[in-house]
Amino acid sequence: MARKLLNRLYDVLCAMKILLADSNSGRREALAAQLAALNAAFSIIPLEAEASLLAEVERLRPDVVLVDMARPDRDTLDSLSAQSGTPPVVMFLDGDDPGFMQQAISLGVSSYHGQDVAPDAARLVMRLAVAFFQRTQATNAKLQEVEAQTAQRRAVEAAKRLLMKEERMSEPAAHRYLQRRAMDQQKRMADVAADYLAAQTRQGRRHD
Amino acid sequence: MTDTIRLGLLRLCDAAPVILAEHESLFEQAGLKVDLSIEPSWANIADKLAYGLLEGAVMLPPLAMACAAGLRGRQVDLLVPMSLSANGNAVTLSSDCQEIFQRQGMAALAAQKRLRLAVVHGFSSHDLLLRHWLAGQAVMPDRDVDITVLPPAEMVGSLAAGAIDGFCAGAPWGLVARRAGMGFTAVLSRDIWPRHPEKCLALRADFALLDPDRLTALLQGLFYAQRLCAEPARRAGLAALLARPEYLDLPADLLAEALDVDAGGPLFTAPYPSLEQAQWYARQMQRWGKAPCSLEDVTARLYRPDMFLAAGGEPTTGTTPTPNETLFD
Repeated sequence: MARKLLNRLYDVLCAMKILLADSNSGRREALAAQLAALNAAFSIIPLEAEASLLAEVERLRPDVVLVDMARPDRDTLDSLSAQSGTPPVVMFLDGDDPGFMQQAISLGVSSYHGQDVAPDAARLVMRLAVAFFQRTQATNAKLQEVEAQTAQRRAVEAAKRLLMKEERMSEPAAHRYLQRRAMDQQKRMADVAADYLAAQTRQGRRHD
Repeated sequence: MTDTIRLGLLRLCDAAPVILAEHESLFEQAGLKVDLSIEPSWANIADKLAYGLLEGAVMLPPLAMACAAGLRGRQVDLLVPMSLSANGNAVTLSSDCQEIFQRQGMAALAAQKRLRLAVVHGFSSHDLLLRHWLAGQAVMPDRDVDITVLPPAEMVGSLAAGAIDGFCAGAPWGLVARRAGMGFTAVLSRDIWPRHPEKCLALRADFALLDPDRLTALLQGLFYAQRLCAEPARRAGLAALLARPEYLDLPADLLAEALDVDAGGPLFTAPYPSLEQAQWYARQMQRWGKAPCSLEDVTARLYRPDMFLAAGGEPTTGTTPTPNETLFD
């Protein structure tokens, strides 16, 4: 009974209005869902990339504003506490953990909160956001890696086809030829293939 | 500390010396490896300086002071060893305001409707010069007009949409508004305070103090870049460079006009980091309740004309006095 009451009290204390100003819509929706699942008392407001940050902060008066650092209008919040007649907005700083802040900034996450918001609550939102930004960055890096590998494989295949056609080589011979050149030139096979394709294109012999 | 010097900047005409130095390989020739980091907001520059993700930046003097004093975000020890530009800003008002402004003046205009004016950051030369200009016409900022913050690139659109009645921003944004027929120049910042310091080079103190030879090389590269930027014969080429998509992404002919010093564009021949001039900004920040009185001590530690002179910089001759600090109420 007492525990139930305590939990409810905790929820009320945590009833925060959180504005999510993340221009990446996929990440924004995922983060909103995660925050809502974390605490039913949170009220989460996703902000579209085109919406005015300042106007929405003035209208909704959120407790916490999470701002993606790619947004140019971040400056509108940056000095709100120095402007008069605006809601108090302080930038979140984890004074105990500069390493965490450095990570957040290099990932592009910043957050602002009202003066009466408990630092722990603001920290919780920020930690979660950093984890999401990190995941997106890792996914993007992975995607780029896969794309780069695919492009390299394509170059090797195209070079082999051209060798087979122009030099009348068999597939294994074309493969060995590229491999040998890569070893001689101390380059990757994909680079040798790309060089060969470029040279052939200059001579007008590439038809794909 | 890495060997690379990471310099932050925004897409503005007065970042020209740094962009030109990079483009003409002036840093490389000085034996330096410099990475330019183009940022979408001043807040990003301030945070990246504070957390060591940038060694230096093209900075607004009042924002450098605010960062060094811990008035926004994490406190960080910065040094200003040179000024990068003077002048270059303009107060632009909506075309609807033109008739009353020109016939009856700013006070009459402000009496007629509550104006909403935008500046680029709460700690900016734009904000302080606008406030000084308004107060000089008995229009009290905050009491008689609202001053809000918008990114420079959104000023013209907001003016067109009627969300603001005017703005104070750096080149080329006043010209963009004028060409679009949305606004007119109410005053050039050089007519509020002739040769006022505009952008400065702000460096993290730990970087600036680490290697005096490297600092000298960096400053000398920028001195030279500034001299190139100031040559009238180079203006068209400079405009074409700034017009590129990775920089301002605007028409070159517009930028060439915005870079015209005689028309109030940025002046690149005043590199001396004058403490006396910086203190005017510090006192204005105090005047408008943006900073405590200790800011003047912070500014005295921030500005380093000694480093400028040690690197072979020449004090600017004919410095203009700071404006009168007229107080109302």
